[in-house]
Amino acid sequence: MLNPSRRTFLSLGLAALSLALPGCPERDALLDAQLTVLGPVAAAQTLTWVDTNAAAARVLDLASTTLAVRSVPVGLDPVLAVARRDHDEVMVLSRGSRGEPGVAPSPGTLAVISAAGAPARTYTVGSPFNAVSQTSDGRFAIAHYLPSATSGRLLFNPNEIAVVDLDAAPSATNPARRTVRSFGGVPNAVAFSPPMPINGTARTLAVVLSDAYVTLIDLTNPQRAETTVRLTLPEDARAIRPTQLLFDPEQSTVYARAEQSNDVYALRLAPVTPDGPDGNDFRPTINQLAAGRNPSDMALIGEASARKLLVVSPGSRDARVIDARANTTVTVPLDAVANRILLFAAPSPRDATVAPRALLYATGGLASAVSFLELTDLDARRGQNVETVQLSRPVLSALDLPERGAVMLDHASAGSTGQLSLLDLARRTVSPIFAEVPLQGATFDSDRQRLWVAPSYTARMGYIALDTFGPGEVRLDEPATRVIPLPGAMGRPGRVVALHPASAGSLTVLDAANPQRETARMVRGFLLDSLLDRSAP
Amino acid sequence: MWLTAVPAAAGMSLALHACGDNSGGVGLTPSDSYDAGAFVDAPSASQDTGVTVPPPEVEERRAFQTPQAGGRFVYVANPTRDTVAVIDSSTLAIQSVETGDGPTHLVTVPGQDIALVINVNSHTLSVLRTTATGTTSRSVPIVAGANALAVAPDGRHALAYFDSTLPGASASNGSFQDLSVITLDPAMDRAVQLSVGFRPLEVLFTADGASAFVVTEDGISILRFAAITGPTIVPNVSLEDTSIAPVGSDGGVDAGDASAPSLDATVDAGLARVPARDVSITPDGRYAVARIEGTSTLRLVDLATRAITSIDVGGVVTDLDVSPSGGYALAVVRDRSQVLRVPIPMGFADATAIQRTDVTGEFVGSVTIAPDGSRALLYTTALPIERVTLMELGDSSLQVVRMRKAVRAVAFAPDARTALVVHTSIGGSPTEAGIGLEAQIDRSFGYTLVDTATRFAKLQLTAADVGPFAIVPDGSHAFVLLRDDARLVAEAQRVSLRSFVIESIALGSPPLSVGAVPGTARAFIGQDHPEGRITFVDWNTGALQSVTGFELNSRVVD
Repeated sequence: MLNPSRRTFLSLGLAALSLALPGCPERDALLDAQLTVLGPVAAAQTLTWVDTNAAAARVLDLASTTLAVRSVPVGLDPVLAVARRDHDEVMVLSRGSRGEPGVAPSPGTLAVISAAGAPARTYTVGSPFNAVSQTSDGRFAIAHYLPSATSGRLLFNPNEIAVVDLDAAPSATNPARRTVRSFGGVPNAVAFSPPMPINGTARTLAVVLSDAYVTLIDLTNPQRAETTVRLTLPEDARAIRPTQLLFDPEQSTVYARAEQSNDVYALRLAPVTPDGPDGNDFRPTINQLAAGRNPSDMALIGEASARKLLVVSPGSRDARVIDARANTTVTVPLDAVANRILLFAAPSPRDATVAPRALLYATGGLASAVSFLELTDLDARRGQNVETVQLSRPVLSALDLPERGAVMLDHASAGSTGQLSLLDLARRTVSPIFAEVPLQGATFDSDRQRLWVAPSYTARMGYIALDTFGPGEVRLDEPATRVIPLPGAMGRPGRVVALHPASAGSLTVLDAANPQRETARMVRGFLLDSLLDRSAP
Repeated sequence: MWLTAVPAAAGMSLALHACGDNSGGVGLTPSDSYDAGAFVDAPSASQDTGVTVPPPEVEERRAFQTPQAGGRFVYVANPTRDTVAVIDSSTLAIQSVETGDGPTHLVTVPGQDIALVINVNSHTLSVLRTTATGTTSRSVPIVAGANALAVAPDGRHALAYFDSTLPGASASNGSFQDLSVITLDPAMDRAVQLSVGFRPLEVLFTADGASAFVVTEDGISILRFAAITGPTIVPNVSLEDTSIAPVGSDGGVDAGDASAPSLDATVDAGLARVPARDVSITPDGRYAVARIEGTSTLRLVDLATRAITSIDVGGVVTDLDVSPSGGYALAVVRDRSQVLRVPIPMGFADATAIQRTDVTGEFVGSVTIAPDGSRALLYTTALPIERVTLMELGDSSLQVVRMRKAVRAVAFAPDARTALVVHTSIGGSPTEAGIGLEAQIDRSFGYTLVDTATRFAKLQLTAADVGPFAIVPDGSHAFVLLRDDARLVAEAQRVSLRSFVIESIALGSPPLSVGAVPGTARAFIGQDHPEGRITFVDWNTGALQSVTGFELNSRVVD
């Protein structure tokens, strides 16, 4: 995996840290408490861990000369810590407490912790949610349940959500709590639209994805009722599960792709006269677009006035170009199977013009070739617009590197070592990168200048500069379990942090642009900061 | 399965004539000298000469009628779900409204968002009224087996009856003569069952909607709505020899009009049992005019007095149309290539009042009068003649317009500025190697647009036979449907009737019906899709929007 999850759970036993105190009649329970942390989560040049038992966040400021650790209280029973998008903040979702002897009941909360040290904001979401989704600009967040959720309560409503305006202060109406209309399902995920112009004003919509239906919530007008769109009729037994959304603001249309469905659903948001003050001023109309057998990816192409949907399906050696307005489809034959689409703007070997083009490829080791698709005049030229590029090995996964005009391809590994290829989208060349270590856990730094890898069995961290393909490595004092890039800002250089498997916290900080052992700093024991201040569980 | 609404007759109805058999046994091929524009004297002759006579001019009435919509909403019946989808052409929002069992035959009230649908399994008719807040549905019982609806121009009454001429019509039991009159009253819709003449063929109304005239094989049944209070027998005004007793003519009374005079018409024994054709009613409902197929007789029926007047015009009348004003009729005498302008009623009393115009050098058997009564097109569908004649009705002047293909049907735009001529195809592959251009054209499907002021004509060949089409109310555009499932042709053409520029609209599924929604300036194209599909086209901009899945759309909840 090139893009590891941001969330890890590190359970540390404090028993090893406990001090043998012979003669003490009563042993403080604090000393036997488990240290369970969430994180770390990067925000600006801080890393934040959450001590779940202490209900406190530990914020390590890597930009400070002292590498200071700040402790910030959060709600009881924290379950999730994530970075707020486009903001230097960390959100911590806590489920609260139902009440125990000596512990008063407390509601679920969403705490927002500033990397800059501003006072944290705590939003009372009420229920013990276990998931948070947020808009791409970090303006809104929705706390909700995932289908596998258990609340730890006698009863709970899995379709309850809390909509939080993160730009606004907590208030009686923020968060706005509501129950999403259900046809028997529970939310699988929540997606957010970019600003969609409806009736002359831009709206941010939250789209709750549930089995066989989607629910639209106008976040700009949270008091309005949600709109539920069924994707199947009640008598249809298919397990239609929406999995991908595309938003076309210029056409006020949302496209939904669903597992077990051969159709893509185009939901056009037509303006209507609201029924009342809390009525919606739009209503979706459904247009089912035949998209081949089990479409696996889709992308919008063309100008707004001639918008079309490009769709690929697994096991199909063609791509489909669908005109959603007239329901017409043009089939483009491919030489190689494709199940993913990447749109990019670049010149081509035969055309110096930077123009929208598409890369069609297959993940999962299905194909060892990719297809470049010229999007101009595609209806007429069809297969003439396809160029096939052979690869040395099948593609396992891919990572778009738009700022580099390239795609990093991870090839199926025959053994424990990996192989990557850097596919130049303009030149359509393929540069292999060999590794003698597994590439799971490899990560790019924030500006995609280097690819970092830190195998757990050796105290070394390797990297390759993507502009020169120059490799390098740094010797560490301990093996690393994870590499976290931190962006530079305000004249400060970007950093790379190697996490070590120390119970009390251990990491090494390196200059991302010039990683050297001599300039690296190692920090230990920061998770024990304020240890003696914490309450026993 | 979704059935798109059948439109009610109204101002946009297009009188089309079509020839069902082009061969006609006359031995002419389309590549004969017609293509050169020179008229070849047609092999027509009177029947007693033994010379082959061209087949009759055939009038085709199909989907060339009023758009299947109200003012803003489009209605689509779904017999399998017992619902009607009500589609807002402005927002494309869809309501699914429950009706009776098996809603199948659906019409709309012209200009209003009201639809009527016959529920074929429950023998009821549902009246759907749509407003901004939703649609109400109310059902009334109607005669069993009804498969046709006609709505009065004022939208206050409708007739439901069995039309045995419709495709799929089956009358294994029951009667051919039952009819329901539905009074459309938002407070309480109601229906009354009547008995009329044998096999209703057509329903006509007065312009004010106060009366209906049911043309049957027995004659005309006159319905005065204001006087209908309960079930009754409606006697016929016969168009035939009055020595044959009309069904139910014992008293000779109109439905609900007991004071109507008894039938007293001239006897014309030679025409006994000859079916009447081209029955027209003047807009004021005063007169009916009919021609008798294969004869030189025209008949005028005074619908108030039931008096019948027959005249012999001296040649077989192959077509007859009444002017929009009702002041005269145009009759075509094909074997003389002559057009007769017969004043109503004066022309039936004074033969000298009839104005005869010789269409010299042409062979014409059909006539279509423009909706504004300014001009008419004369043509034949019986022979593969590639010419039509434009007749200015103000001065009866004639202008020949050359076509490139034989004529199958003709329609005027509502403003009479343009006409659309649908052509026949002689069959065979137009792409066969070695054939000439003329043969390629003759083997192709197509239509011609005619500018009636300049007589400019533009031929458009099509990939499939010309299917249903509609001309929008302002006459600016036409929409033509093309469908050939075997060759995967699913297309609509948006035709500018100002520039004759044609835009092809590829469709995702085969088109079924087309119509215009005046309230939103959009044309709709109903398509053959298991879950229902309709595409709306802004007729001014060409912008498209499609909706698929009527039932799913109706279940959007907010």
